Amino acid sequence: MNAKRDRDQLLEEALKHELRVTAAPATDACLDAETMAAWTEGGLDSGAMAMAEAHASACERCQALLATVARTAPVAAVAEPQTARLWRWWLAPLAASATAVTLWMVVPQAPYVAPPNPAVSAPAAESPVPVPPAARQEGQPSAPAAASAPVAQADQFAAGKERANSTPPARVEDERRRDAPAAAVREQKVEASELVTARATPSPNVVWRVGRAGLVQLATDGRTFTRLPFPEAVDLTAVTATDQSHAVVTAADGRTFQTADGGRTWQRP
Amino acid sequence: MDEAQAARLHREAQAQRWNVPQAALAEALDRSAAKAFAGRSPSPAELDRYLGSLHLPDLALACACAQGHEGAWDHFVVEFRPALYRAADAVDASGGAREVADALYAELFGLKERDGERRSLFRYFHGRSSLSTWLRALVAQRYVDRIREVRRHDPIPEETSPAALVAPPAPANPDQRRFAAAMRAALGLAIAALAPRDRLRLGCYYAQEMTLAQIGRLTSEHEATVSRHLTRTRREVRGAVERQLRDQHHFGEPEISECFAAISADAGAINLGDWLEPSDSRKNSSTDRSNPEDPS
Repeated sequence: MNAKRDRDQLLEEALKHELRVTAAPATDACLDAETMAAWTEGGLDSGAMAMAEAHASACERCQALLATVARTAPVAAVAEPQTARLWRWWLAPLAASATAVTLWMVVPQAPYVAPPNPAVSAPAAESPVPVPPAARQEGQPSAPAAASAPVAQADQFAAGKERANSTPPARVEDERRRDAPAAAVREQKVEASELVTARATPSPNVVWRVGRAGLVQLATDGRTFTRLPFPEAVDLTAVTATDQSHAVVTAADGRTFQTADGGRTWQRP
Repeated sequence: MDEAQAARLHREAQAQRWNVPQAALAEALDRSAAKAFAGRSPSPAELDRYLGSLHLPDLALACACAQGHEGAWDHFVVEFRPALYRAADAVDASGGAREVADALYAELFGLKERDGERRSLFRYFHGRSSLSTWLRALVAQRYVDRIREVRRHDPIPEETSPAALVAPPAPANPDQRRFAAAMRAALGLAIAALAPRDRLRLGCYYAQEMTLAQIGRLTSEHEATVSRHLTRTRREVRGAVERQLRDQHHFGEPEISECFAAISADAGAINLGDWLEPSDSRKNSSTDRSNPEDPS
């Protein structure tokens, strides 16, 4: 058993350094920036995608380019599979019910006591969000860890089924552990910005924002955003606008929608 | 593309905002379609679907910038230059890519002329992605190519230099080199026999050290799926390597274990080109992608 595990580890080490081929000049077959960008945004058809993948799979330069493009990706533009979102729909009421039952069981039924005078009350808690003891013990930043906990659990739950029959590579778990605090902060940022993926500012006071699940927001004073109705709960990846009435948004699947009445109605061109 | 279609796309692209003539936008759309369909003629429906999927307002802006429209260029500076610099900082936090971004900025403006015409890099934007993603890809491309160019021209260390002196010592076991060579050959064959997507995941994960989520975005898979495929692929590679060592080299289990241990002690690199079927373009071309005149 040990020998088997040793071979797995040795193979991983071998793959790490053996796959880094010596630098070679680029060729005509190498992917250009335009194709790379289209690939990143799902703008290649299946044939072009297969060709790009076939080339990049054997070209260290193009892999390095893909990796560099990936590292410059905005955090909020992370795509999420449908299945994970569905799990969260189910988890939300489930978690709310569990919390309600727990509170009912744990909180004593004390008679109502008038709140003390604010002037002499105890100092406010450090964090308005309750922090799990485990997070405190590990010395993680409390608010991000608490805020992202349900999201992280949902991801793990969705992922767990697929992992059940296989042992992931050693680095998979290492990476998860290593990235956990950073991932928590990233998730919180995404939550905080309401999953905004793009914005357009046609004038100093007019700002259009779009995001995941059909999120479209408009501010006409440069500060206060109002959510506008959108016909589909698709992820939106881009927006362009000429003023507070006219905007064109692009969905993750490439379709565009336009409005000429400040987002009250949307048409497919 | 017929006149009505060109007019509709011109309207959708809001090209009139930048005074882009309909003919100029139509020419850009033709170039885009020619690249996407690579020499074949798409059906009218296919072409219509393709053109409808483009980032038309970004394409109109790129056309206007390429033509030197002042308002368009001002808009680009306000909206996209910060993104260009953010991308450069993300590529190299020490500021090394800022120089690349500045050079790119000049090329986008089109400082060079050919046949009396200003050649802007915007000509190579085809609207298949958003303008900001294209800019990120351009920064990444220039940076990666510059790093590779520098690496290629790094001088070989003198025999007496410290760099030469720290080279790993020759393996003590005389069989070790033989085991390492056999293992490297078997590993190369096993990797070359993989499906392209499996090989891509492997390269991105082990050679480029991309995260599962980053790989997943490339392959449109959830990171758990990427993890599962990596596990399977690694198992397949290991099986193929062991089979190759057993059948071709007639090694027993102890020798196979020696092979696995030997390769980590013997630094080197597989060139997949040695095992994969080389394409004509790879054999014949010597195009330098870092050449700004040929960015596509």
